[in-house]
Amino acid sequence: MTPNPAVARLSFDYLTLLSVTLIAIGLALFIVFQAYRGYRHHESRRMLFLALGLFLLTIVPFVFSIGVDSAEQLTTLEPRVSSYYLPMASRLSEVGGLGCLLYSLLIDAE
Amino acid sequence: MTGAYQTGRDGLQTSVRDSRRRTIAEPRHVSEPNRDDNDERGPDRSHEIFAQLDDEYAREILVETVSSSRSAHELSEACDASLSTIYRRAERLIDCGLLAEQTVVEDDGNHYSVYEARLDRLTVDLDEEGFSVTFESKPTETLSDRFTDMWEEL
Repeated sequence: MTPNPAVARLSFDYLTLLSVTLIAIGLALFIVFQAYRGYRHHESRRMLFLALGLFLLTIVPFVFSIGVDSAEQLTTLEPRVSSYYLPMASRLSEVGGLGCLLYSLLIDAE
Repeated sequence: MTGAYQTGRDGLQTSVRDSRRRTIAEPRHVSEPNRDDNDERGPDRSHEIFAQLDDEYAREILVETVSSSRSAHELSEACDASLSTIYRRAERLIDCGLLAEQTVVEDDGNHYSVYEARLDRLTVDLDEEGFSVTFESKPTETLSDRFTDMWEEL
């Protein structure tokens, strides 16, 4: 049996995307963790919302996108999932994250 | 007095020393006192540093806190001095920038201070202007502390 070149190509694309996304998640987690530690050590609400904002801006959309990609490897999803639901969920998370960042900038430092 | 503070190296220990679980919170502006205004205060400051190093208790505090931070109680026992002596010496050492104070928050919400030596190496220079004292200090801030400082200054 010869392997189907289309399938091989698909999983190569998926694996590279997965590894880059995992690197991005790792970097984002590191920065979010530093902000969270700043909040714990200094009891700074601004750092709490910075951490939350960065989390919603980076990690959540990454996880959504990799989740949908992984699901597409296993089963066929409705086209609307990747054309509408995924971008919509990511954008909503980013709006929430930007809101947190804005709030963090606007509140007074304690 | 320029270039007196080196913050390049990373050698910080904010580790938990004893069995109690505690979080070490570092105050935001202990580091680098007088970094920018040391022109006129230079002579006073070197005089103050000489006076500190002449003091037996102050020296002992620095020796005790060089590798790990200690509370005033621990220092009081280690140096065989009263608590008020320790607090007085610690305050002056902090003013000189030789010592750093950190606040420890225990699980039950109590706060107390621990002290850690910042002094690493001291150099005394003599020229026509008089003596000038420069010291290299150990950085006591972690990445998250610098991140907090940066964000809160926005």
